[in-house]
Amino acid sequence: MVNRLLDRKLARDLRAHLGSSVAIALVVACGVAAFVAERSVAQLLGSAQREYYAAVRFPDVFAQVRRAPDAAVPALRRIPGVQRLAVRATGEVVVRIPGLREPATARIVGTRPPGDGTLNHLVLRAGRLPFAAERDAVVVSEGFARANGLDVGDRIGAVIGDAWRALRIVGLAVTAEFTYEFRPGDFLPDPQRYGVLWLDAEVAADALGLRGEWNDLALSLAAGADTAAVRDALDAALARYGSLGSYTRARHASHQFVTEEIRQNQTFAYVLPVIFLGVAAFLVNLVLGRVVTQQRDQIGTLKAYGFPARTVMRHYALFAVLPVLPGVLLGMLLGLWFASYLAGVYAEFFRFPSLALRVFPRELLAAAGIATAAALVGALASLRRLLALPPAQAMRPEAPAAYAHGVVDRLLAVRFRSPVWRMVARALAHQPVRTALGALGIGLGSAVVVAGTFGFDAVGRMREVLFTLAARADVTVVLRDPQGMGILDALAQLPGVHRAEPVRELAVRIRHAHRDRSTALTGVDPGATLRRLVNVRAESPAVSAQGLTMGATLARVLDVQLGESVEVEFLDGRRRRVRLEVAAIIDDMAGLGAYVPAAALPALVGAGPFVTGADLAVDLDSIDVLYDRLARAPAVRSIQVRSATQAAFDRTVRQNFLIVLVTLVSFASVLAAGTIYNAGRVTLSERERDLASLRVLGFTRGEVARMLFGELLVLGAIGLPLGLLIGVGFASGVVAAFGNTELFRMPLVIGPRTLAAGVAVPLVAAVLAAAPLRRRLDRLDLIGVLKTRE
Amino acid sequence: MARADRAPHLGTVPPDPLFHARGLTKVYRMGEVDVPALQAVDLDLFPGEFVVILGPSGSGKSTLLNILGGLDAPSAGTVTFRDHVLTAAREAELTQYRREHVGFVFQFYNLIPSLTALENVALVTALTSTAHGGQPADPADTLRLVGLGARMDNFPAQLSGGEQQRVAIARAIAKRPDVLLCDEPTGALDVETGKLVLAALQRANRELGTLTVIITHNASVAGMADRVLRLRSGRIVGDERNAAPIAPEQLVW
Repeated sequence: MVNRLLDRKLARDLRAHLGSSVAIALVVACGVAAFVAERSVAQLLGSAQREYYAAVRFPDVFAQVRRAPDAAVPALRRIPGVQRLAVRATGEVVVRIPGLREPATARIVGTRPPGDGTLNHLVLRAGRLPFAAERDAVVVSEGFARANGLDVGDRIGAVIGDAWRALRIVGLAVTAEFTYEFRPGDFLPDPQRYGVLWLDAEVAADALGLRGEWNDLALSLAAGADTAAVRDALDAALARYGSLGSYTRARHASHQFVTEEIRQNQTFAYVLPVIFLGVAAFLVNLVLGRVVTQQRDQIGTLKAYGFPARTVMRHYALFAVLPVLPGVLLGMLLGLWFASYLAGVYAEFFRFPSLALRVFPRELLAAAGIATAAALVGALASLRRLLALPPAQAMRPEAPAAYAHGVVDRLLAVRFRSPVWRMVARALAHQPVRTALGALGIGLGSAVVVAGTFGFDAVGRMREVLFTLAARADVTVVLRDPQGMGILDALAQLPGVHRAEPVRELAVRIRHAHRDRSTALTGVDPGATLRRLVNVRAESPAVSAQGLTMGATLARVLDVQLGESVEVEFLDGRRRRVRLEVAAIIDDMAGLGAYVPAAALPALVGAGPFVTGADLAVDLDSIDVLYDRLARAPAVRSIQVRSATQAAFDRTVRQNFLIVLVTLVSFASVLAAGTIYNAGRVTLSERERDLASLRVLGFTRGEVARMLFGELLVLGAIGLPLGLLIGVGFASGVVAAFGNTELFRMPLVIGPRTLAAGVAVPLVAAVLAAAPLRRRLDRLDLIGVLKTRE
Repeated sequence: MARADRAPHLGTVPPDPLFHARGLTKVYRMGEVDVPALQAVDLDLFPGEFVVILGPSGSGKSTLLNILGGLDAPSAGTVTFRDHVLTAAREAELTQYRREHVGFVFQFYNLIPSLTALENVALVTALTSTAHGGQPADPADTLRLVGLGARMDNFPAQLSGGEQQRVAIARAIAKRPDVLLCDEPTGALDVETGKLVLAALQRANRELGTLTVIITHNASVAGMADRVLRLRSGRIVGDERNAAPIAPEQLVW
């Protein structure tokens, strides 16, 4: 009975604080949504990855060789610790897709029907696998097929070996090793222009000039096997076949990318919720603190009547926690919706057999738990205060706020001659912690906007550097093997080609102490007009004439300092090794860059002048003819078209960022609005009597509004710049944690538009949140204040 | 019904009343029932008078004060202040009226806790100097007038109740209002402190010639008034002139 009455009081108190409760619930909803979405997606990707790997037998160790005989395989299978070992032929070719203007690049992969020794099985999405020795049958990767509108029964053309071949699509498939399907050297996928073509194993070997041979190996490890020992034995056995060195999943491009994405989701699952639930705790503290002060007479009465402290505590604890529950519920729904959206986006990038959203009840429970805990933490101070309140004292009104002259006041007095600003300044200085947290709450809105959207600036800089400053060639041709300089003249003679400049990039392995990486060594030509070395600051750094110039990412992963020397091994047939001193380290943007002057390259390899490809400036009118000629040239391994790569980049960025932008802007608005509304509401409640007295004394509505909003304005004036700083801090944290991958480096660029949005978004939200306060202020009870004291 | 519009100084030319109220009626709606607070009250108040309105709670005295102060509107009847018809004024005009002409003293002082005594007074004089041409008094001088010359830089929390109320009086008179409306000004104070506050009000009335209206249920205060109005159940039941008002120090309650 007693509790029922208290519950009725609780319901009425909550209704009286509806606005505050809604604001707190929305802030909680954002935190819970972020947690549920990120955790669900991380779980979803993680479990999809695990199940996928198990289902298709994703290998543990990989190696590529130039060519090795089938006869070498039995000995490799006997290496202790090897469970299954599979070899195949693979290589890149240029393909022509009906309806696609530019030639595309495809990776040919030999495949066998699943059996005892096989790994990397295909998951067929349509059609069938090629029959043994079926020469024109091809299975196409699903993403590539879908991006180009291809289906079973369609035909595509490719130069395989020295001959143009028409291939019939018999199936569409996905597989774990190409979960993230992208061209080596790129870091964003272009599903229209890069895909995988599976041919029957024998047919593929034949077509790639590897009859009875193979160039790609994968193995799975037996339980408890010593990975390092297996790799050592493998590397020793493969050395004579031109091995580029074995590597584990950790260095497998697709695996690396997917795993990194899971890690990001796991990290962000904590960042946003900490911010939002922290602010929610502060708001609960603010509102409950005020309610306990206002209701101290009621608390005293309840205690005087002999209600146990437990009952009174429970009453106010429920007041703090109940508004959080609808927020938790809303956040869960929002989070699941957002997770399913993200799952859809990831399904475009990561080719899992299925990436349908599942509900992870443990994540939902965890979200509800931490949100409730945050509310209780916020309530703690007030609950302790009411517990300590003796009934008799509680029933007396609280003494007027004891203001006194302090250091702050003496400083302020000089600054503010107007009594109104002194009121504002003293009120804020009187409760410094609350003022600081209020400012922080608004500021975090700024920080979320800045940290959430600076990616646009960073990506914009990357786009500028990659597609405007660094690469200026319309078309870049990569040759199958290095050739003499004469090929440039041949290319320049092709229809529509204005200019052909040499490209020299050689596969190398660079070693420093026990660390090594396979990458390309680029010969930089100072006279080149179609290609330039550009760093993250969009400057053109010089390549040292002496020794090796190294990109910062490569220097980092090899742990090499300026002036130290590294071993460079050329991964061609001769495997020449040279030692080079690191003469310069530059902040390059993508990949693991290593550079020497072009003129120095032939001597290093021990060869005459050569090129490995060419940059072309072309006449766009006759480009179709050029594409046709290039696509049918056996010497050409792949063709990159700058405008197409750039368009794919833009599309990816748009897809990825728009939803993030909308979400973060809404979340930041909720943060700023929730803080301002509650800070304003509590301040109004505290000042209500003062402001009404001033209205009686003849102050206008506008004048008393200025006094109230003056406090909020100062909170904003402190909070927003602080928030921008925090946002820049967050952004550099994001760059440090996720922006330094081996594929690309994200520059820390924060443009004026981002900073402006960081101010404008919370400001607009705050102004909108303050509007209901103004209405409340206009309805102040002027007569009531004549008679009552707080 | 008692007529309260007799001229105050017989034998001289009667001055124009400051307030002129006719037929003031106020009905509050409390749920299903109508509760009358004022019933057809006629009243004239003149410049310089020291008026005490006596009545038990519920007699309508607060309602009358609120209407005179421009805080409430009657259900029927009119009030004019000089030539302003308060009962026809909009909210902004009433604010302007309070700002320029009315000084309020509240039962619980209602000082701004974050401003010192001096700043509480200055807050209102700053307002008035921008509102009309007349020069407001110097805030410090006004505080000296109520005997608080030494405590000007104290915050309300550092002052006793009586001192706070005297700051409130200084705040009310510093802008040189035409009327001082005091709602139970001694209600929260002990006897001795209450007398000090009343003395401050009387001094302000004498030295500045401000019409002073005090509402109270404490009948003893009537002894110091020029004129005593008695209210009961929303009607004026008595309007007496005090031939020889006594000093507040001599009041007994």
